[in-house]
Amino acid sequence: MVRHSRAVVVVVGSIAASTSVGHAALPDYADLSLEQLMKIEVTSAAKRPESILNTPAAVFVLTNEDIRRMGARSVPEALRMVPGLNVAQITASTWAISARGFNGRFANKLLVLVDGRTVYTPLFSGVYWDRQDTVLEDIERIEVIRGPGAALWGANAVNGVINIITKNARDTQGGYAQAGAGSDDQARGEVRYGGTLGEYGHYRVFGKTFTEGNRPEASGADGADDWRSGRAGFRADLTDKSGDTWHFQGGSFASVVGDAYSSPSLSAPYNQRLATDSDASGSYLLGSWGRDLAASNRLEVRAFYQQESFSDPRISEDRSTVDVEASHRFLIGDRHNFVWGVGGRYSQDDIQDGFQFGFEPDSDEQYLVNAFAQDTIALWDGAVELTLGTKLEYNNYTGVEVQPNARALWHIDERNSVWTAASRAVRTPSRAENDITASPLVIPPSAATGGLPTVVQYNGRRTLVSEELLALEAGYRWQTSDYLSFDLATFYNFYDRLVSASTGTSYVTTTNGTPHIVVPLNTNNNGEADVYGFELVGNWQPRNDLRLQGWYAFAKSDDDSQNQVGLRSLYNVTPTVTLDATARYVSEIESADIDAYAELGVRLAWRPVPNVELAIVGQNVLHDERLEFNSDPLAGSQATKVERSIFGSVSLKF
Amino acid sequence: MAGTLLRTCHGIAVMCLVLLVGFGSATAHSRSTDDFKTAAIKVAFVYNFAKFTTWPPDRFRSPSEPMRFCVQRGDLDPEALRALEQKQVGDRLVRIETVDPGAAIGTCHILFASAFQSEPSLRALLVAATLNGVLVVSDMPGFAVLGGHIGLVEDSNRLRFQVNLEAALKTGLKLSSKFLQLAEIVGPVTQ
Repeated sequence: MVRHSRAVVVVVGSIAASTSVGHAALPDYADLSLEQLMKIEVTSAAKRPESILNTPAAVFVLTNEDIRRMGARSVPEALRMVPGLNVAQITASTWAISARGFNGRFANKLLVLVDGRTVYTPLFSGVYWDRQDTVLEDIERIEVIRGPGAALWGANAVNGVINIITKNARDTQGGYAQAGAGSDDQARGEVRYGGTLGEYGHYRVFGKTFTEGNRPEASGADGADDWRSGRAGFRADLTDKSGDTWHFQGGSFASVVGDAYSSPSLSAPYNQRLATDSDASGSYLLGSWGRDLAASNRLEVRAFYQQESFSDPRISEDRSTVDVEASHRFLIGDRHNFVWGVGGRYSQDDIQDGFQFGFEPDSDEQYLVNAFAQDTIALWDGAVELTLGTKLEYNNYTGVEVQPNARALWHIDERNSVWTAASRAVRTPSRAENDITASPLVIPPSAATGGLPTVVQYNGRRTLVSEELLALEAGYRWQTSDYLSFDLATFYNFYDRLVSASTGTSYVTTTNGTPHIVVPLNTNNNGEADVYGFELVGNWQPRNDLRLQGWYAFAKSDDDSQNQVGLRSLYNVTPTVTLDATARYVSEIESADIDAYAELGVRLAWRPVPNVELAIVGQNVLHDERLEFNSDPLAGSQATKVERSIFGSVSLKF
Repeated sequence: MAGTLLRTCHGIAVMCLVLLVGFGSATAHSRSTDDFKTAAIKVAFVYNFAKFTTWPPDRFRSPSEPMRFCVQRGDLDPEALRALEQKQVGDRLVRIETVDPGAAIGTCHILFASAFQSEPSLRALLVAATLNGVLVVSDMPGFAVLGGHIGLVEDSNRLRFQVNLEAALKTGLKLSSKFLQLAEIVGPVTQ
């Protein structure tokens, strides 16, 4: 390994030597004294450390170690301990995840990217969380930005952006395997192997599979949410002879996802509980190319293709997406750090529907083109950084959208900084909000309905425009000592033109063969909301072997207020044994009829030899079982309860 | 109207891509001499720091054991480091090694790193350095104040350095008084 690192240094060194003429003329500075060195003039070239302390936004980072030591086995589980995120499990495979409110299975104001690949679906403007998975050990970090990130990332980065960043293939050399079993996860296994591609770089390949059992439904009945999934993928990171960097990755997955749902029909029993298995599968391929035109002057082009499909008795979807974007970062003088770029995306779907869900047209395309620019200006010798940026986007549903933002960061001194921001962001209507006809519920006939069954029908409309957010944010970061720091973020969000639905005029129809009454619910842009709140995070390292983190998040809207508290400890009992705990409190969700709860997770791990780790994880320790969220009434799926669970695993590096 | 605009945007996107790529090939390889000079001066500073530092005796097995100067990957121009290839600190040859972020640093005598993934990863590195007797130097703003040993600070287009004496003492490193006269001492000082 060490020998290999040196080989890289030599290669890089010789590339530098061959391309840089004139360096030889420079004196040998190493022979100068400190006094002499301190007199030499230098130009500003310090690499801008992308430190969390230096961002004028509410940012939180989960590192690889954070994820491993909380005992998370999926990305949503890892996100539970991010302040200001709302994370709730609905069934074994479905989650409700949002930032700063508006949570639901079809939460639609959060943008999620995996190594720059957007995994947000135009179908419902949300994320299929069951499909976003990889070997968690290969994730370098997860960056969570609460608040709008639209100026850089574009539409739908309204309430937050989640960036999942996997490790460079260089950092995952050799073999890694993990096998585990537990009360929820009946079996789970993953393998990764990384090697070199000559002098050009590195690669890794991986595979992962698991099967999870049923959980009980709210009624106490056995659920049908068992699921199993398998996936394989690769990543390669290369540097060619001219110093350009190339990055390729790809993967495929297939899952069988269990679901129990209420199936409506126009004849008795009108609504029937059915259990089914959905088949979901997908593949993607991503490539990127980067070139350093000079120091702090970098050009990058990235493209990906993704194909995903699922089918069950209610609905099936096939979707293909192509995306290309280019960005260019550079310094102008010693004050301006500029980034701009252009991009485009094309997505095409094909939907097979039935009585419960209909789409008109069956097949449609969504496309957008965009351009963005952002300048970070250093003022007063860098004590204040001002960021001005905007994104201009054209999409085929709502036309041109402009999403500007202005941010300022003031380094008061080396231990204190404050920031503030004002941004506009939009969320474009989803394919469902435009085109769906959903009939999730049939009310049985009665005398009041003249003996006819009544169908409640949710109708999408193409007249929708984008939801709009104006966000004001401010924050304060305080490093009280080397061992204690605080991070406070506050926000006031004004939402306008929110998509909602209003009851239309009822009518009698015989479509589908049986006379019935239809009560239409038609989508419109009549919603408005003001949401404000704050998140406070504290980090404390009282001893070398103990790290503590605590946070409190508060959000209030016109008719709902939420409080969340998180606490975690990371304790190195001995150099080979770690004991970690996560505790959280989530207040009542009145609108969803979910009680407040406090929960605890514990992980104990032991490394008997350096390359083997044995771990045991207890989750939801405080309750036998507990309903965490209700399913969306539109989907008709039955929510299941999370149960106290235990999971043991063995990890091996070779 | 929308159709026209869309066609224009399609056209613009393709044109921009072509322009970008063309621009890229034209200006590639114009590496900045200024940046190289700054890197070379930083390397020279670190070399000088080594001369004025005494490590705990158990960090060297013999008087001629080389001094391992580790650099976090990507944080200093490798060519600038070549200036130290034939250099010595006392009787010791300098040996340059590249380490990956987050990798073990126990074999290093000096570590130079610029960028840290997160605050916890910076903390973890400093704890490892304290336990293993590694002198850590960084040009990250505020590094010494945050508990690092020596921070290189740019001030009016010149480099100076801040020393966190408490952190150095905890690590078992002795810094010569001549060296400290030139430094800005930060953090709580115990006389």
